[in-house]
Amino acid sequence: MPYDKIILGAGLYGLYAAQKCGAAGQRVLVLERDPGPFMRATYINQARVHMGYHYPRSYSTAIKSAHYFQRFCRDYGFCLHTQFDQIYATSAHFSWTNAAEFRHFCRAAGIRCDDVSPSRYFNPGMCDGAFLTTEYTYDAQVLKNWFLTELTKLPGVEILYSHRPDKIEAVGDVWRVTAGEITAEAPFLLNATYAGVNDIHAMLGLPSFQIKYEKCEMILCEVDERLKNVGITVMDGPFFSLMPFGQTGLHSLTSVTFTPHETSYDPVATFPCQQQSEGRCAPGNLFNCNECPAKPASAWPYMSQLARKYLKEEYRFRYKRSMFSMKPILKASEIDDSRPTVVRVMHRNPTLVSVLSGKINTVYDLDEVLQQ
Amino acid sequence: MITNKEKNFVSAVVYLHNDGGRAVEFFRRVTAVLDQHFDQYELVAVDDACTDNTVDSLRSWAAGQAKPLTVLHMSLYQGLEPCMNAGLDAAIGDYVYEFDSTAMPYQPELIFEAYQTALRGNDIISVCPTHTSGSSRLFYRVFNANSHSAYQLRTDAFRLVTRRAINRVHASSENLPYRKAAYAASGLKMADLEFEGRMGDKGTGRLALAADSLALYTDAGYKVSAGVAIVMMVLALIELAYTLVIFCAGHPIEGWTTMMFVLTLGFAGVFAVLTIVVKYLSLLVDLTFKKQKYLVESIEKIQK
Repeated sequence: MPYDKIILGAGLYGLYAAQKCGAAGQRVLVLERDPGPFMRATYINQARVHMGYHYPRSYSTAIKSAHYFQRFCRDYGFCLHTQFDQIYATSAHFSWTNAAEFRHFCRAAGIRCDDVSPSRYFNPGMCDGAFLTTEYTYDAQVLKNWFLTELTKLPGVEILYSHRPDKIEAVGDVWRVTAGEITAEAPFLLNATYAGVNDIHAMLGLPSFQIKYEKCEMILCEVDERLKNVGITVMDGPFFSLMPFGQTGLHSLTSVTFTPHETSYDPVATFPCQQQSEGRCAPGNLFNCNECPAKPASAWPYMSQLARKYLKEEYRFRYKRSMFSMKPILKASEIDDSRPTVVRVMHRNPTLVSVLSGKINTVYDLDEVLQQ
Repeated sequence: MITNKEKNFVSAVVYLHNDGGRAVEFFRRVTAVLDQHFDQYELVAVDDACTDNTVDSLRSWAAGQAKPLTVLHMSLYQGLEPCMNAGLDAAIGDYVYEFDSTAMPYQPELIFEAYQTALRGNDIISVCPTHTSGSSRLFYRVFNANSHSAYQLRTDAFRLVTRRAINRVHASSENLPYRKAAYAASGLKMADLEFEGRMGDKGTGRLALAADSLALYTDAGYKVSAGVAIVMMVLALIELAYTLVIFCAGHPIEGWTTMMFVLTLGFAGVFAVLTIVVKYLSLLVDLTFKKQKYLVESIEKIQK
């Protein structure tokens, strides 16, 4: 059956593309290896709609984030949680930035940054500045349901879950993709598999993106009343973030040093734990870490300890559960900590476009290639 | 799994400067004790610009360890106090061990004993040798005689401090030129543990540190300047009396000599006081304006 586009991956980028193209009257097939959409990176992350605060070492990333922030809030406001105080603080020690620099950075990027007293939230001497900012969190489940509802209105869009491409080959001007019992053809293939991006490249013998892989843990916490409407992010170095997780009423806790459990520098993610995955996961065939029997022991003792060192005692939070996911990071971003969205045409006639982005609100970067 | 291990999170901060093979051996002994008694702990090594294989051998040892080791690489050699401050800032434990040296002339079990002592309500526990060098003894004698703290400082092998104590000393001053004295002045409860033995010297820079500490944490400086002022005053009074006597005796030409004498002495005294004032001022400048009190090059986390 001929399609206009085949999309690999039913995360936000995949479904966004499917909806965009489906609405334009195209026939689209989405192949997702997990049994449902939004089961990996789109769901398992801090759910931060980036306004740019996170990138005091990369103005370009910051300004672009701020720009897309408005648009995302307009288009997907229904899935946001906006009614909380998002506090950014600069650590007094080991930080790559400080209070004065952060103020300067926010002014340059044109984003809100109101001084609040660090002693309101933090133990003495821990932070040299604290700022009230405007930043939101999105709820992946609400967003997912919206996309699924929208997509059912589009007869041209078909989504197949638990379908992993076994084989992809170029036949004349089209890609022929075999996934389980189905074989489909289209002149345009969108690789929106995030951490699996190089798995697809390897399958086709194409060059890899220069990325490293981090096996990451995010912890969901229950918080007391005092933290309910507060998000805390300590910048910019080996610190932590504790902020509302979408509309769930829970907070997500992550830390720069303890969230990544292990790192792989190979072109396709290669980890010792893959051997314990009972055949589910292998280099070039990345399983969902959150569903894997070989997921690591939680780093909760360390992450909570780090957060408690900074936060005053009255801000209490408790462990609820851990979620794991694989995070690809462009090697070129390490020094400036930028998070550029990479949209690259890997092949022409037939067309293969690969996308890699660490933020949801830069999804609009896809628009240009989708018009082809 | 049910364990009877302690649930509190402890950190061990260790100062390293070209310690060679001794460092790994030290970490091995410390982790043996910590593993036995604690569920959760972390190791923090401060690499004060080591030029030998200390860090490499530590790295390969840590790669096989279940608990994380954080190595702080200092940009350049900065000496014990700034480095340990950096280590303290990096440590996340509720209880933090400060190992100023990788020499271990004591039984490793003392490490846990210090923790048990802390649980009995002490916030700062010093583990001290019974024998110390003459110069240290002199310093502590002068220090203790002039400080207003309820506790006597003495040479120690290592220390255990609670998070509460760390927060307390940071609330009063962000920079700790001399940790031990800051803890003693914190007003929290201190305790000493003793062991039979001797602690080696901690190397260069001690004289400057001793001078800073005396000026900052004791009133020795004030006493000296006050002493000088009193002596000057007495001298001035004697001179005044002498001048009066000469005046009454009717030999006013003699006054010129006296005047010169007073001036010379007066200036000498003023200069002595100025020296001390300058010392205070330089310390104030250091404390207030040197925001970046140490320079860290990079932070590395190693774990199995």
